[in-house]
Amino acid sequence: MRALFAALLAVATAIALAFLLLPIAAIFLRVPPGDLVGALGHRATRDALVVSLETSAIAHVAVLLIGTPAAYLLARRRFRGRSAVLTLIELPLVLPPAVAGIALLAAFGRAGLLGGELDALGVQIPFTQAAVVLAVAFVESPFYFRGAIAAFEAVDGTLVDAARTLGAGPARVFARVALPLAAGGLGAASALALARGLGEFGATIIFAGSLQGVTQTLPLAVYAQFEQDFDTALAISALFIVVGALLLVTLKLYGWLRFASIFRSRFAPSTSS
Amino acid sequence: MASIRLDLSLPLRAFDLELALDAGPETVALVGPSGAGKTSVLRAIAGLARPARGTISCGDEIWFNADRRIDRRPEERSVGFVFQEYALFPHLNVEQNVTFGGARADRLLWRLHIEHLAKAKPSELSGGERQRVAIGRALVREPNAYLMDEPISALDARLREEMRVELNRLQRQLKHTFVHVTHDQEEAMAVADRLCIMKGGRIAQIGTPLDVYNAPVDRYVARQLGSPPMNFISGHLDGTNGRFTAENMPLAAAAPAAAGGNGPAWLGIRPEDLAIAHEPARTGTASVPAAIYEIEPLGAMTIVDVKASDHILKAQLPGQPRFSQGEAVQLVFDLAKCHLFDGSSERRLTTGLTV
Repeated sequence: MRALFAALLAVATAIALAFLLLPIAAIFLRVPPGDLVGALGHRATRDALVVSLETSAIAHVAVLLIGTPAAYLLARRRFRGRSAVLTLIELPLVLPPAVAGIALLAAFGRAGLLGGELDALGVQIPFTQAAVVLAVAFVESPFYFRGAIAAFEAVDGTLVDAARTLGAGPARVFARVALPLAAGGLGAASALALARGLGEFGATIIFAGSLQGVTQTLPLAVYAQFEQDFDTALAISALFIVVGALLLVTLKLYGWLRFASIFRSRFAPSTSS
Repeated sequence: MASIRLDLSLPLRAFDLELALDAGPETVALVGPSGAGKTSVLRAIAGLARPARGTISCGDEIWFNADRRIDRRPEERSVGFVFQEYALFPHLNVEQNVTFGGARADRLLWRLHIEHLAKAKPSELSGGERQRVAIGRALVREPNAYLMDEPISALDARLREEMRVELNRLQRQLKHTFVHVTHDQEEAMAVADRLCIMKGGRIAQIGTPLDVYNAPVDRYVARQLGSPPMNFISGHLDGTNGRFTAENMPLAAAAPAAAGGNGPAWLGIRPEDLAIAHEPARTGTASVPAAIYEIEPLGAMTIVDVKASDHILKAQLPGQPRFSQGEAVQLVFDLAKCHLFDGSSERRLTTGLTV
């Protein structure tokens, strides 16, 4: 009975692993390393890579610059309606990306909520690179927010108190205590958000379209190439897997470093001097 | 002139902290069990907790006044706060920790004998070293008041004794107000010019350590100071003739007429005021037959648990007297040192009984 149960667990684990890893392995089996580099030379791939890097970078910097102080405020302040705000921030996480695209159109499209005002300013957002940036920022920011709030909440409040009794005002406390101590968690949240932003597809295709060299990001290029040139689609996919794996490793490394530093400070010998 | 004056009410989870304290250039030790509100007093002084009413001032500066809506920010109050567990910044080295509040660190590090650790991270330090860094960090801004939250309770026994002496010397050098929070009554007695025994957010008694030790206002205060703690024997006080009779023990004594009280009462006697003899009592003392129950030889003194009737009392004897377990002896009470407490209010009625 006992051996049977152990075997059952092992079989289930083997099936799960095989199911998750087989498709990934299949891509690499179909794409020799030479072709991978070759596909990167492909015009459509290069264009998509540039669009992806540009839009992701702009969106990510914006998310970090606005999200970090906002997360700090939400982590430190206790006010009425705080949990409602935290829940609202996470709402985009559970939305299908296509719905996010429609929502962005409804807000910033020509006939949208702010359409008239933007039109008067001569600004048109949908189907431009700005739309890609907005779509990417919209879907990735909840990931960053969540992680960043948790990272700031994990900062020991006594250290903040100590800094204040040492004469540090709120800005100095943020810069010299909260930010460095939350850095590990912020880095992890940032990596997760970046990965989500790079992979963004649904909201982008609805709100920004898939115009090569303008709004066609790498995931959109995979979809476009899938109908024309399956090998290129495979090569771009392989590229994604490599980038994704790198981000994951970075994440784990951050987690490990954090654990190591907590471990060191908790269990350091505290005998007499 | 350094001084801290407070008179405030601060709502806490279990009760309201209600406290009035006027501390000059001295060490005031707040003593009491955890949850008595000691740390909250420090937090209120530092501006980390906001009282519902009252005032806090330091010298001529008003730090808090609820009626006048004055509430200085923590960073604007000149305090040196030494936190429990030290709260050193883990990402900064010793020098950076100490200079966080500004000013140069080198002389201070040298004075605290930690100059060789300037570049070390807090996680690489021993408990005693961390404590020095925490004190150095509080000192560097030359504040007007020092708030110490269990500053030495995390250290081992020998280091604690050393640091008690150092803290005393530091206070005498700086001539500032030190408010020292501890649950350790021995530490409190050693560092305090005045002791403030706290209970449930209020001051149960405040006075010099020896005054509080020798004349506790009630049984709670009597239990807070002294190790081993005071022995209590329940009994009955006859209000008409001032005569106390112990329950389950052939012990009786007379209280002075002014003592008052009537009905259930407690006789309290500290372990050092008990003696063990083989002969019944001389004049001025009372004795009861007893048996040796347990012996703790500590070298300079000996703690002996003695069983008299149903009671087990602790006696602290000087030197190294020899007894054997179960030995029949006489337990001698120094009546002049005995306290009498009211059975219901637990207030001390009098000290010094006669046969």
